Amino acid sequence: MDILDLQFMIDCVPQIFIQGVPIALKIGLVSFFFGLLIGLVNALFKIYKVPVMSQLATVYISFFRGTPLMVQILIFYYGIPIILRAVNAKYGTGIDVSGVPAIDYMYIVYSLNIGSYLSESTRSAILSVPHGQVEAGYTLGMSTPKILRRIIIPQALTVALPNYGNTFIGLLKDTSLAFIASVPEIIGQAKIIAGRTSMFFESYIVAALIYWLLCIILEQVLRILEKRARRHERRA
Amino acid sequence: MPFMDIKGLRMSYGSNEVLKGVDLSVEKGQRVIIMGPSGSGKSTFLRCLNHLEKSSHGEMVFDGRTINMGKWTKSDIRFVRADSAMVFQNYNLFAHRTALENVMEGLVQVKKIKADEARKTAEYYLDKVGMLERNDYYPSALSGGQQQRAAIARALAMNPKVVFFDEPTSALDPELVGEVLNVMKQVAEEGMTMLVVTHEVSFARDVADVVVFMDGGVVVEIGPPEQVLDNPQHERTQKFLNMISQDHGIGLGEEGKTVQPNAQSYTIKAKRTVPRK
Ligand SMILES: Nc1ncnc2c1ncn2[C@@H]1O[C@H](COP(=O)(O)OP(=O)(O)O)[C@@H](O)[C@H]1O
Ligand SMILES: [Mg+2]
Repeated sequence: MDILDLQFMIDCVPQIFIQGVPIALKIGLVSFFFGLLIGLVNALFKIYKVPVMSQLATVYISFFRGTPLMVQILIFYYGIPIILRAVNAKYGTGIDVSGVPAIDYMYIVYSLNIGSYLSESTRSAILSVPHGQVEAGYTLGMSTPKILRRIIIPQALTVALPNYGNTFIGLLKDTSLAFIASVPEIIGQAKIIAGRTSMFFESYIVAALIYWLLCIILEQVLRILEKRARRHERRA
Repeated sequence: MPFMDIKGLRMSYGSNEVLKGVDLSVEKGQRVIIMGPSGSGKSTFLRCLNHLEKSSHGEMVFDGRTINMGKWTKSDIRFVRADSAMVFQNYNLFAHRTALENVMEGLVQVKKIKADEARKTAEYYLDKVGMLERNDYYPSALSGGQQQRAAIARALAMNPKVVFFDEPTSALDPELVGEVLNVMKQVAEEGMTMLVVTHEVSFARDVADVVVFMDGGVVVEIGPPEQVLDNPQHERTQKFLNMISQDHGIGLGEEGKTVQPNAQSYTIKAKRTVPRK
């Protein structure tokens, strides 16, 4: 008997790929986008030492970096409905708790999780932009938000890009944990097939290969982006 | 009425008082050269004028507006920055923008000039500082002298009424000092009001209307260049001038001599080439 049934593996690619990958990408992209916003806001709170907010940011970052993602998923997946029901009971709001798709909870928990990591990389990237350029902006009459938008953020993004890329690749792999909230992403699909056919080994290997492929593609995209972003550092 | 009139300017970093009551009055079109030992507060002084540093006390009349320097309002800051520009020791060009984009930035973003018109203005000023053929270079691909000339173009393009220069040639390799001083001299000839912190004595002799010698956070001596540079009244000024003339290996700008090694192409003329204000 063969260890692996190759034909079976080929046959289950379409289901895992077509149904699982879009969900994984959706969780990854949406959470990364909100994570970037959270990260930027936190970084600014900390850099400008905004009272109260910068302390809250510190606690938030520490919690989400200091607890397992799996635990965060479980807490949010089971906790938010309880809170929503309590809100419904107290304020008479008619939120349809059981109607909220599981993936919406995933957007929230993954955004918060990834935001905590992006806070630190964004903060150090912003601080890497020489302060003299900020001062030059001021003497031209630019406002602080304009300097942020035109001078600091574009350069900070370049600095942070490798870090962001790696964080995104990590995030995409971590979306595999969403199966514990019954979200049918890549691993979720593999589990469904495995449960139906008992072909566990084959199903999970296909899932692994799909993650691997995605990561290879992402790494290439990242390399191109980095090259483009760093064009001002090239000596003519 | 003078264009700028600063009275009793004080500034502290924490408990360390760095400016201990500085007075200075600057006429329109005047070139003021500020000298003094390292740490005497020259940079801090310039940076208090456009609120890059927060002064604790003082009053400044700037282009007819009276400003309480112990309590700047947002509109004071806007007022001064709109009509002043600064050139820094480390150029501080925006690293992610080409020379041209650096000059255009303030025109488009602050003065709200349309991009194609801003481009023309930027090209005009880059041409003026001899940088036109390098206008699409990023700062990292430019020499220090080229970066500083682009930074001067960026300052001038904003059409300021006064330009502050904080040791604009101090970070440059000696052979690049001359090209920057020549551009600054041209700016002086065109009548710009300038406050320049520099140790380039020959440049001071050539363009200064007033030389200020600072030490320990106060103005020790102030007067026309031939008084402060050639006939200083205070011992501290004499000592300082002796020291920098030794450092630079030059006499203090004798006639006909090309200043070496610090200002290669900057030759001292028999007579001042820049008319006195
Ligand atoms: N950011 C700062 N924080 C604390 N002290 C400073 C800072 N910048 C300058 N100083 C101090 O202020 C004094 C004046 O500095 P500065 O104005 O830079 O002098 P100069 O330009 O004449 O060399 C120095 O004693 C310096 O150590
Ligand atoms: Mg200085």
